[in-house]
Amino acid sequence: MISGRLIPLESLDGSLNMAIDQAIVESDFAGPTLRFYGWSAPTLSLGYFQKVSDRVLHAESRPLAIVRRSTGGGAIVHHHELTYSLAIPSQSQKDLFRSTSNTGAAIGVYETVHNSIINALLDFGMKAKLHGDSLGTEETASPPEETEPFLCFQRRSAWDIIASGYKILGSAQRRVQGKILQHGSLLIQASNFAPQLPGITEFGLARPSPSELADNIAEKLGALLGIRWHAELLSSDEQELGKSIQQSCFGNPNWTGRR
Amino acid sequence: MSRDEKKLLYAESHEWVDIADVDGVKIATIGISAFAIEQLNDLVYMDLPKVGRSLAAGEEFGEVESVKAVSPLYSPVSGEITEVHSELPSNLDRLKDNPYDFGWIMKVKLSNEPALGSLLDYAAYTKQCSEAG
Repeated sequence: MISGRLIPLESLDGSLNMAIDQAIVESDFAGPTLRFYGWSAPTLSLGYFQKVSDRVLHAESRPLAIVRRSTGGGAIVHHHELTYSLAIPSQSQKDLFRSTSNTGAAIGVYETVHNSIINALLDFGMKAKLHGDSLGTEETASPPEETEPFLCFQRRSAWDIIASGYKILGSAQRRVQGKILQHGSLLIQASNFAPQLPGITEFGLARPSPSELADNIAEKLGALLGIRWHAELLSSDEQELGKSIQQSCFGNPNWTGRR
Repeated sequence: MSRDEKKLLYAESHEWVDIADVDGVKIATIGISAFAIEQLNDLVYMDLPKVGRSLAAGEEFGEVESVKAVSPLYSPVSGEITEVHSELPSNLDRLKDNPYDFGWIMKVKLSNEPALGSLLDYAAYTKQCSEAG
């Protein structure tokens, strides 16, 4: 059993949310840090390599403010959802995923976090599974297509969580000096800025509160990986670094608009 | 002429280096090892650095996005970038089959040759990879 930090749920501006995730993974921390958060206003986040001009591909989200993520993949409309981030230093990767290589640890993080979320959803009465597990024996997860859909939730990878054929959770990673930052979004309800993407309540599930969901997911992840979470606020150094990163990157229009 | 992977130097962060003497100037050609390309799996984007930029060994010079992660690329040497492989980002599918020739990313005019001593030879690098894998 190793010790990990659990940062309490709060809703913040999109650029600060992204900056805090980056500050956590850039800080010197001894164990895993799990954070849950919401968005103080509906926001469109772009994958790290996506072009701002590509947002014309999705008309409904055009009124929204944008932020560029540090992680790859497609764009996400953050509205009625629960977002998490998990930062894992190198030593913890070795402790938690002993039998796998560094890259194996990266896959291991996807699998364990997503299986924890699947287990948590089951407690709320919802059956969901990994996309890779939903493929038939003749099928395999296909490589990315030449032109991927603009929206993350219209793309598919083996680790995505699927319910009734729809993707309800997608995650992405960034490697930072051997550390892993993974964050992802669980759709709770369809947004009027992305009405084509149903959330878990569209499948008849009574709407759980984000904090209930977060607590349950943390418990499941702790049990699966052998992590004992202790609630902790961000350190003052992390808060300062977060503000600095927000100014220089995620809240800086030049940085966001550089592609 | 194809590069022989056994004669290259490697950084622990999986970049390869080929040192050549061009008119008395040491030029390092740099790319990503076959092991790293295999592990990254399905690269979809790459950012190249600008020609003329000065790099210190260990400094981040670019980024790649694979199916599920954005990862930094670190310069294994110190010096000034003299050339970048501008055709590479739009042909990443060719990297897997040809990591040491078509897969070169940039050329750097060395400013600190003694620092090369911290790089690994092929035997040491493959040992590192086998321990990781």
